[in-house]
Amino acid sequence: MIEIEDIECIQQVRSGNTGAFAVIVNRYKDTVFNIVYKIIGDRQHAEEVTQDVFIKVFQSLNKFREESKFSTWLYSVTYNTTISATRKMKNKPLSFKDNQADFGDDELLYELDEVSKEEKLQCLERVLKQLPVEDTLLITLYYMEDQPIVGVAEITGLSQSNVKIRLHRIRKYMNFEINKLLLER
Amino acid sequence: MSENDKKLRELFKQLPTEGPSMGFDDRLMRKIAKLADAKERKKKASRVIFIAVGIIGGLASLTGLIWFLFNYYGIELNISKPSWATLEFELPKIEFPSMLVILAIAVLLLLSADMLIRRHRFSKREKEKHANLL
Repeated sequence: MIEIEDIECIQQVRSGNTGAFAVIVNRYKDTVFNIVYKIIGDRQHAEEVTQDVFIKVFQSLNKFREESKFSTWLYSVTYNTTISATRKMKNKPLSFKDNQADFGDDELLYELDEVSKEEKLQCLERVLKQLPVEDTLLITLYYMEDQPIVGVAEITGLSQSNVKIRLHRIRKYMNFEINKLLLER
Repeated sequence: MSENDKKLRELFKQLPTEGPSMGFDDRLMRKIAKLADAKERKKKASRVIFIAVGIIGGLASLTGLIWFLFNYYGIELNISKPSWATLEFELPKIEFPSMLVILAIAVLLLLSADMLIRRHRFSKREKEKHANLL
């Protein structure tokens, strides 16, 4: 089966064929849901936010200038919608405060190979839950969705150097916390 | 990419992925269809307003043009008002170049034809859209 390009679907939707939007939904629903779910942590709420993301995308398709990839633009809408949704939740900080950012220079030097896969993933998920919203989004986009620094910068509206600094800081925090969890075992 | 970075990336890749529940697509597409309908209705309403404004504007400009031409060329209509009390009246004597009348009628006909063509093309496009959705 020939896969229709994103841009072709968008053009069809713009010309009035609403049905073509189903292709976009089907293609990206899991990715968007995954990103949102990592932050929100509640399935039902994550589904609502995912739905909001697609509705916003549909309503502002005319604003998509085709200068970047559609997926980048979609991630950017996901990023902003998720941050707005979590602002209402108020149980998670949006980003690290400067005085919280000193975690030493820990490398992920724990004996990773000796730890079972389940344990590693449990540690990672626990640490991800502790991260502030914006940082979880940054790290998820970078590691899970394989977005390059340029892509993450475009999605988040931050400068490339800022993204690099923040990723470095998040990595340091994660290494520190994962090492701590593994030592506590 | 550092070793540390690689390890972290590998770990992230092993995280279980989740998907929305069954029926998510249907629910979402129903909402999208509703939104599209509302948008179309709004578009239709603004088109009707646009056409109405166009017709009124066209008629006003036509009247204005005729009035201007009459004034510019000093054309006068020899119309005497009927006397309602006695029900006596005279038939008006109209004197102006037939060229002007033809011109005004031609403009009016062109405006009407344009409106009809636009309406026909719009309904044709709507039918095509509906067929595409099905």
